[in-house]
Amino acid sequence: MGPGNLSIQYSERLYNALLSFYPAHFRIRFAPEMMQLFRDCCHDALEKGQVAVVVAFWLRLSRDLCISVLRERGRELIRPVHADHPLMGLVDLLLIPSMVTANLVALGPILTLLIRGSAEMPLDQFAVTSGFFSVAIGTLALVASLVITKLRPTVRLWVKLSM
Amino acid sequence: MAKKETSDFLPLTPAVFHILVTLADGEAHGYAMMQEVARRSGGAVRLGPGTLYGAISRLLEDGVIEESEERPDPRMDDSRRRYYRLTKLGGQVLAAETERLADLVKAARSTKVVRKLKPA
Repeated sequence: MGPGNLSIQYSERLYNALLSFYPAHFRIRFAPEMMQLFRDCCHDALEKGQVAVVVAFWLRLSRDLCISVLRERGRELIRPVHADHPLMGLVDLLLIPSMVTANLVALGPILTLLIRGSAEMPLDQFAVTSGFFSVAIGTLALVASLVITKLRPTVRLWVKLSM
Repeated sequence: MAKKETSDFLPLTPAVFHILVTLADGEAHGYAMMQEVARRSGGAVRLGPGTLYGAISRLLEDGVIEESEERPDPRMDDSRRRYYRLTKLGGQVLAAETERLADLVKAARSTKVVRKLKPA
């Protein structure tokens, strides 16, 4: 096996590993084609035989990979789950705040401890303050989600124009 | 989901426009598209695999292009490649964008500055 074939083989392995940064559904659908395209491009670069061509190819590829991974991840975030079904629209709307709230509710007691201190606070007062922070954070998350849902067409347009 | 109108797709990004122009001449696989876009743009537009397949993914989703089952010559070609072609909607989108760009160019050419200056 020549050094050219060997370098293609290693490049393919590396690129194959890098493809794992794409969202799963995109990877499942397009990874084999992208690998084939990568192979063709590698052969092209090696045929030209200059180190500069291969380096330029990898630089271009790295830039393309970074931008497109971020773009596909971004699309994943704003993609509604079966948006044609009204119930799914509701799930779509509530999914983000519930997840955010679930994560942030834990911050309620932590915030209480940080702001008020726990040493001299009675347990019932601690529970009330902590509950207040949790509800406030949850409400903020819901409002943020509503705003994001309302802004979704704008976000879509922004993503489209940035591509 | 409401069906998209042709105008909903406009303006197209340069990458998407180039892809549609390439497919207007017939079906093609990813590598052929990449080569053709680079050739047509004189090397100014070079699509990487991520950009190309990201665009293909969106165009398939929107019904602007579709996968073709036919192979131009199975003996000459790798069966792992997938071919894509324009749909009827894709043709309409391409025509609308071409029209839009032509109008823009016409408007720009009618300005004094552009009439006076010639490209270097």
